[in-house]
Amino acid sequence: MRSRLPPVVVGGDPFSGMVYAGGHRIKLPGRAMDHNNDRTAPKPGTRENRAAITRPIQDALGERLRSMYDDLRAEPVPDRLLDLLKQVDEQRPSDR
Amino acid sequence: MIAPLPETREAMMNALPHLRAFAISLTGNVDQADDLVQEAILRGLANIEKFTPGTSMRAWLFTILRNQFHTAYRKRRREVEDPDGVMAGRLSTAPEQSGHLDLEDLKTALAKLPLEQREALLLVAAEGLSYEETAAICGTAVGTIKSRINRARHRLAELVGVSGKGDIGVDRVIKAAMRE
Repeated sequence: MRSRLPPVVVGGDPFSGMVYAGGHRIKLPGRAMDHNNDRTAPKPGTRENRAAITRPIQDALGERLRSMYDDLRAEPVPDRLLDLLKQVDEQRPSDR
Repeated sequence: MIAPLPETREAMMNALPHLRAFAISLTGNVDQADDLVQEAILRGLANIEKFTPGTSMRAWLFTILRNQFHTAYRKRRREVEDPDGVMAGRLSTAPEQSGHLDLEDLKTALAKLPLEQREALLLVAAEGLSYEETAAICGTAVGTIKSRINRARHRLAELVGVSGKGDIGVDRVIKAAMRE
């Protein structure tokens, strides 16, 4: 038994809106805690959507992303980029 | 400058379409992307003695390109208030709720992701690199990459409007996938 309250420790899943306070999982009212100063940290007010993102959605989005990327990769490379490497080839002495 | 071996040159040549796809997806701008690729190739050639034979030329060039872009991005960040907003505005209009997920929706959403999330997502989910390779390219830990990708996926779903309540979103994105 503890004689006094343990310090509040904030942590846990940044998506869930839950924090651990003194070892207990509690639901915070309103917006989630400001977790850290990481520029990529989730913005407040969006977390309620997170639970709804299911596997099929992720798979479909991933597929779409790959398809977009594959199309870009299939584009012809502009001559000015190819020339950078062609020129190098010509500069190389032919004797070995 | 030491001229690279033919196999080195070929490896660079093979990496070009990959570098370009990454740079275009990262910047949302073909001209800027081609400048980045050009710079990466020139730097790669100038520093070819630093490349370890037997390792991945593609990953090495990705690292160079990524670092260049970050340098330019940081510089721009000091100059403008909201580089993400500027970029997003330049790219396209807001996604339409038109009943399918089209390419423009995806590009717009991608541009709105924070840079660290965007690059991690592209390298793993689109380019198909491992978490380890991506972590090395981005100069961070594997766990950080996993976390960034997780955030990126959720944010992307929110931005293209498929994460909303219930089946409408699911329906919409599945339809989009079926149209392929």
